[in-house]
Amino acid sequence: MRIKTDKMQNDKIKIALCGNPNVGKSTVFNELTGLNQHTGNWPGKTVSSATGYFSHNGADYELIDLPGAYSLCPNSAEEEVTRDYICFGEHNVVVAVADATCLERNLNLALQVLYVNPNTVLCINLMDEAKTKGIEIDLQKIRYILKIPVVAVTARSGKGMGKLVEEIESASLSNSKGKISISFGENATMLKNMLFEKLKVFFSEDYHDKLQKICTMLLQTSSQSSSNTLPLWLKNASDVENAVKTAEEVIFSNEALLKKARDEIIAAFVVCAEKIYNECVLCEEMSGHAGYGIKDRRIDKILTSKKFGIPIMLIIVAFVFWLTIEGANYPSVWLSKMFDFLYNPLVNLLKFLHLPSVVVDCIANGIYKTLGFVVSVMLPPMAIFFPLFTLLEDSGILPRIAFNLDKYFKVSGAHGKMALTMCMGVGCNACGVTGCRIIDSKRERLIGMITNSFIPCNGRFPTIIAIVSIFILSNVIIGVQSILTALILVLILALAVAISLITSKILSKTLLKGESSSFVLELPPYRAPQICKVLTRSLLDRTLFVLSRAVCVAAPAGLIIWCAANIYVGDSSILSHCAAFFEPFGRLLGLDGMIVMAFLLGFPANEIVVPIILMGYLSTGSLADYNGIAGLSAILHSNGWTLNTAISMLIAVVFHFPCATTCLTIYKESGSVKWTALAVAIPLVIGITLCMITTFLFSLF
Amino acid sequence: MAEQNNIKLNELPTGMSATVCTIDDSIPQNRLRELGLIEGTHITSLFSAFCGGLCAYYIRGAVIALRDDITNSIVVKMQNPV
Repeated sequence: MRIKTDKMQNDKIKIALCGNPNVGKSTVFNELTGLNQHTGNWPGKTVSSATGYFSHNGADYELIDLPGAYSLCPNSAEEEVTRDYICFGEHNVVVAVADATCLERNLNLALQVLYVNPNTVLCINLMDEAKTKGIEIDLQKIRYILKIPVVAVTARSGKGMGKLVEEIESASLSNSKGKISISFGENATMLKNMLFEKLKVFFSEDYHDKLQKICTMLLQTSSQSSSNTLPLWLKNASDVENAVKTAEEVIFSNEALLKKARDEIIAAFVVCAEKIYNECVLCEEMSGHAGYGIKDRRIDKILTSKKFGIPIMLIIVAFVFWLTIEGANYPSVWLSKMFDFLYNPLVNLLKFLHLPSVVVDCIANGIYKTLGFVVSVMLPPMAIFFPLFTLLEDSGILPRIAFNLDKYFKVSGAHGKMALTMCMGVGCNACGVTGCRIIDSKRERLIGMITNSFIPCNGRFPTIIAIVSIFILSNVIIGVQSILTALILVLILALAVAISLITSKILSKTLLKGESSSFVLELPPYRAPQICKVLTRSLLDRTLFVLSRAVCVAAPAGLIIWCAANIYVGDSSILSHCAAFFEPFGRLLGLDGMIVMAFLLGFPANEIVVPIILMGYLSTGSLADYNGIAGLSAILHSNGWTLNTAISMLIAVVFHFPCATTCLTIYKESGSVKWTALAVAIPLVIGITLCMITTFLFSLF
Repeated sequence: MAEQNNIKLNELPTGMSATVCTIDDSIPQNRLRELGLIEGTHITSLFSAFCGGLCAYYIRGAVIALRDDITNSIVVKMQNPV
C-alpha cells in the first residue's frame, strides 16, 4: 500500500540491491549504473552507502547498494542498515543478488528478503564461475517455487544485465507477489501466534497478513535494540506506544523459549534454502564440494601451508611496499615541481588583487606551500598503494593472510582481520582506521582503531629512511646501504606490530574487557580482479577521500605554522619562543625543543615534521625542502644531533599522537571522544617512555 | 555405535565430513546459524592454519574459517569413520 503511494509521489523508481558479502553485488551495481553514482555514509552510521541512477524505457530508476549481509537478523552495523532499509525503507523492488557458486547459503538471505518483501527479484550472479565449477541451476524451477522473477547474470562481463533491467521494470510495474511457504518449529509458531493475538487489536483486518510476518521478524529483535526497532516494525499500529509495550512483554517474557524460537526461525529459512537448493541445483562433482573448486584448493594448499604461507605473504606485502615507495618518488617530484611552477603565478595574482604583502606572504608561503607539500608527498603513495591493496582484497588473498596470522591476534585479544587493517595503516592510518569496518565485532574493531596509528604510515617513512641513512648507516657502502635500510625498516615495522599487539592485549584485559566475539572468517573463492575498475574505484573512493580530509587540515595548519614562524615577539619568532619553552622537555627525551615543536605543529600531517624542524633551524619563514640527504645531514649535525637524537627521533616518529586526519577519522568511526583521546594518549605515553629510557641509557655510556 | 562417532568439531580430521549434532549455548550462535551452521548441517574440514587455533570448513557451498573456541563447542557426528 505504501509502495503505491511512493510510486506516485516520486518520479524515480527505487530499487534496493542486497546480498551476501562477496557476491559481486557492487559489480552488478556498477554494471547497471556506470559512473552515474555517488558514495557516502549512511546518515548517522559509519557504513558506506552508494546510490546510482539509470534509465530504461523512459523511466528513471534509483538503485541503492546495501551493505553485504548474511541475514536480516543484524549482528553488525552494516547488517542493521540492510535490514532497516529492506524492512522499513521506501523502495519499489528489492533485488537479491546471489552467488551461483554458493547458492544454498545465498538463498537463505534471499528467502528472508522475500518473506518480508514479496516484490523481490532474484539475481543469480557469477554464472560463468558456476559453469566452470560444474554447477547447473534450474532457474525455471526456482522461479516456479518462489513465484518471483529469477535472472541469471555474469555481471563482470555484462551478460544477462539487459534481462535483469527488464525484470526490474516489470516487477516495479506489476507488484508481483512472490511467496514462500515456510513452516517454523513449534516454539516459534506458538510464540508468534501469541504475539499476533496480542497485537492484532492495534491493526486493521487487511493488515493482519503482514502482521503475521512482522511477528516472526519481531522475535529476532534483541533486548538491547528493541527500543529502536520495535517502534519501526509497529509503525502502522493505531497506538504505537502500547503496541510496542505489549510486544515487549510477550517477546521477553520467557528468555529460554525465545531462544528456542529464534533458533527455529533461522533453522526454518536454512532448511527451506537447502530444500530448494537440492531440488534446483545439480553439481557434477561427486564430493558435493562444488563451491570449493580445484583451483581454489590448489592455491589454498600453497598459501596456507607452513612452508610457503608466511614467505609468500611477506613477499607480497614487501612488493606492495616497495612498489609504493619506489613508484611514488617520480610523481612526487613532478607534483612538487608543478606546485613550484604555480607559485609565482599565484603570488602575481595575489599582488594583482592588491592584497597587502603580509597577506600575500601568508597565503603563498604559509597555506599554499604547506598544501603543496602535503599533496605532493601524500598523493602519489596513496594513489599507488590503495589500488594495489584493493587488487589483493578482490583477488581473495587478503582473507588468507588473516587466516594465517589469526593466532597471533587471537592471543592478543584481537581479530585476525586486524592484520589487514594494519597493512592498510602502512598506506595511511586514517584509511587503516576506516578499514576497521571489516572487523564485525565492536570490541575488536575499537582495538584495531586505537592501535592502528602505531604502524608508521607513508607520511612517516621518508623521515625514518632519511634518519636511518644519515645516522645509523652513514659509513656503509652505498650498495649495501639500501638493503640495510630496508632491513631496518622491516625491524622498525616488526617492533611497531609487536607493541601494538601488546597494547591490544592490555586493552582487551582492561578497558575493553569481554569475551572475544564469535570469529567467523569467510574465505571467498580466488578471483581475477578487474584491474581497470579497481583502479578507478579505489582512486575515487579511498585516495580522494583521504586526500580531501588531509587538505582540509593542512590548509589551516599552514596558516598557523606561518604565523608561528613569522610573528615576532621581542627579537625572535613565536616558533623560537615555543621551542625554547619545550627545550628542557625535549632534552629529557633526547630531542630538542624545536623537534617537539615540529611534532606539535606537524599534527595535521606527519610529512611536515622534518620541514618544520629545518624551518626552525634555518630560521626561514616558510617550509624548507631539503636538498638531498647530504644537505640534511649537515644541517642536523650542526644543530647538535647525535645518535641519541636520531634514535629518539625514530621512536618519536613511530610512537606519537596520530595525525589530525586519523584522529578525526577515529572520532567519526567510534563516535566517542573517549576512545579518540585514548588513541592519542596511548602512543604518546609509550613514545615518551621509550625516548626517556633510550636517553637514560645513552647517558650511562 | 552412533555414540562413538560423536566428536567435537575441532577433532574432525582434515578432509573428513560430519553432521552437526549440537551447538553449545555458551558461544554466540547467531552468526554461525546465519551461515547455515545449524543442527543437521553437513560440514567438511578442509584445512587448518599451520600455527593452529583456526580451521577452514566447507559449509553449504562456502569456505568458512572458525576458531578453536567455537569448534570446541560444536558436537558433530562423523559420517565416514575410517
